[in-house]
Amino acid sequence: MKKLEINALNNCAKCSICVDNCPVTKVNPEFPGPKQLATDWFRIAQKEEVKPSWAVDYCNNCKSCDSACPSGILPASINQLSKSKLPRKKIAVRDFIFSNPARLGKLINILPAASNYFMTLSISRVIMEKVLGISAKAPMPVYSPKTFSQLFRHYKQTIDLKSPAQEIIYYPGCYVEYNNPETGISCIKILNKLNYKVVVPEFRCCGQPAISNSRLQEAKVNGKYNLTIMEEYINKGTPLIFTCPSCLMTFKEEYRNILEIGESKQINELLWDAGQFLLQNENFRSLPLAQNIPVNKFAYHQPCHLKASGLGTPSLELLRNIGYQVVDMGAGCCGISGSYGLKAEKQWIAQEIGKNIADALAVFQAEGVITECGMCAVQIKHLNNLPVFHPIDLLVKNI
Amino acid sequence: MKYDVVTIGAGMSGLIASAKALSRGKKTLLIAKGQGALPLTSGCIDFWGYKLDCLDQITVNPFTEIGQLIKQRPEHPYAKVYDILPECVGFLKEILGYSGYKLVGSLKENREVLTALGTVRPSSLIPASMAITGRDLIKKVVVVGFKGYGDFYPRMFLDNLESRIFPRAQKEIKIIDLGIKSNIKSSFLASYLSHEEVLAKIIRECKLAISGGNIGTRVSPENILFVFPAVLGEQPDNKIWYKLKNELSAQVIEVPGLPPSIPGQRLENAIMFYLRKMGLEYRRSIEVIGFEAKGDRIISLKALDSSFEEHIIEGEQFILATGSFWGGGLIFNKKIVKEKIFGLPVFCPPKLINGTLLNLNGQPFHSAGIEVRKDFRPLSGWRNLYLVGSILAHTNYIAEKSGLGLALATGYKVGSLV
Repeated sequence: MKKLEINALNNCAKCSICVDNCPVTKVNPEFPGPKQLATDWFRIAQKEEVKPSWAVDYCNNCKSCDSACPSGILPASINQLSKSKLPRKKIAVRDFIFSNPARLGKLINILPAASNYFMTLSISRVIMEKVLGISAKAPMPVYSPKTFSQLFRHYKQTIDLKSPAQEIIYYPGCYVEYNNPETGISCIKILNKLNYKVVVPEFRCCGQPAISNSRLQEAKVNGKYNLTIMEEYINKGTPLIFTCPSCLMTFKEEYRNILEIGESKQINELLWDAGQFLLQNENFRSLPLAQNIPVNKFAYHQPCHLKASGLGTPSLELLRNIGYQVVDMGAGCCGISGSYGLKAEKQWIAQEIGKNIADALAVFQAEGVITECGMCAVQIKHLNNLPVFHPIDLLVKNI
Repeated sequence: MKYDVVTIGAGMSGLIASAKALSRGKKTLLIAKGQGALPLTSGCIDFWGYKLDCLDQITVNPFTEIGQLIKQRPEHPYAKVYDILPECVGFLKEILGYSGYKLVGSLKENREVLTALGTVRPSSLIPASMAITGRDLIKKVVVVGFKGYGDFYPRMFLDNLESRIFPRAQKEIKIIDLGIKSNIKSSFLASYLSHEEVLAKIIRECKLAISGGNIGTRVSPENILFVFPAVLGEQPDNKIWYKLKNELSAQVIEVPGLPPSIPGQRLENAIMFYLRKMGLEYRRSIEVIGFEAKGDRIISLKALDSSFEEHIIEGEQFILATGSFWGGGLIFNKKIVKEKIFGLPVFCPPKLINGTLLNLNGQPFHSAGIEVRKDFRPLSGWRNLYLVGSILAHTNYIAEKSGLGLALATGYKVGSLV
């Protein structure tokens, strides 16, 4: 069982499996790794006032250590707590921007095409690097001309009215909202087909970007707001569907472990990864074999936060069931880790970690990649220029 | 979603049982609380280390020794897999082939593997990069260390090395400075060495050791052995080791050291490569806390994910590969040893602890575990539950040097039964 408890730290057998699984340690020799940085530091910090090391800022919160630890310790979560105790940096403006993609998204959404164009100009990228510390070499997510909310407002849900439709909630997350609304609409189409009427309340950003950018207070405010919205649905037992594994993991784990705002077991029972939800749905299981499969050989990349959630790879199983040829790459973290790989001082780390993915794609001679995480998709496109799909993008073809 | 086979535990026995089940077309799910223990091993597969009648002498032929063992101690789990031992070695070699990983050696021979401490340990199947050919031909041993890498001290290696190992060889230490100021970790080195310019630098420095010294004492490269810590690349393809060997035209070996070990990780990567190819469903970060049974059959497992949410996992057959005390399959609480998930009756030796910490018979508590029938089902209890690996009773893998070998054999056997 995984919980941030001081007693749990005593279970550390110093086996260093966390260090072995840490993608940052693998490429950055100056990074001490999860064992020293988190487990050891946290124990000492209980007794006396000890400042965390500067190095903790280099933890990408991929949670590989959390999911590898055989003794139930959560080094990555400890790192997020100690990160917030570091002195504020000069480049705090950048971290402010990155800590809430919705803020930036709303701004860009005023003129998405111009913003996308601006991002492709090398001169503007150089300025961004010099002024803001956003790497000129990093891949940037492309913004959609219409946000998910705009599309959803005009989207007419078609539900088979033979039996009364059940209500279900969808959490789009910032990536679907501003960068990839199509996946969100596809998810709604599938849920409609299964006789669900989808509601999308006005959620805020889950808070993961704020946690990673050491702005715990902001994350807490967002988290509390989201949980308040959910209150109405808890008694009704309405499920909440995610297409982004990081948002899901934040609701499920970070709210309790890091932000200490969600102790309710009830809400966890309502949270579903889209693939996990579809896999257990009787009606969805009896789908016919897929037609119009875009390419023959797919490689699947499991996002780190999905792995850490303990949900396995439900979408992979779904796709295989309907005849997709997909091999699980098992190449580990892609390196981008949200905004981590966009930062000037960390871009090289992200690039170096990502080599595993590039190598694996070459071995499997994949023609397309499937992954649930939006930022992983940005990184994989950047590394290999292959088409990348969200499993929902493919499953929707089959209904 | 119902699975044909559900394996609990991702160590050697769990991986092999799943691999065999998958190769027979079974829909298999592997669930694990965390990373399995393979990266903590040296990556060498031991079957049996020392002579039954003389515990400080390495046994030459583990296969015949195990034959003797099961006559003396028919309760030992090896008695149930003796007939398939050669077969399971073939299976392992076959599945490792998918990722190009090579183990050399045989079940019928123990080789002496040099360790990072300069000591010798017996093992049967060892990574090609740990094997030395013709020890007598070695006229010079160059032990390579890296500045800032604290997991391998060439000086200690040479000081501990018995003189019989390389009786006629000169010995030399080569410390390579890679220009890194901080403490270096194994996982970093293994990945750093895959950069061509880094490897080129190492090759240049090693060539200096070949051409250095007085003309009179110079040794031709084929009689030189370069000893590296086991960090020559993370991938099972052994590319870095091959390149070093070819460029130096000398013998190159890796010596396994402190865990987590890169060769153990390579072995795991190679097996996982096969499992993924065969369509394994794999869930990590989920802990089985209970089960539901109907009559004498288990129908589902109850498991908690990382947010304490409960999951019900249904299956036809279940394989318990949770290990012993280290793996967490057995727990020691208030002087009683318990099996954690199913509450199976545990065999416990009358005296758990031997006063001499490092005695040759090992610590008795290691032989605690679950007693099973011929087909690895528990003596009493569930009909569709099978046990593999170190959770089995009457084996002491540390003293016997039988850990990965027994895990391989029992995993293979159960994988072909389920």
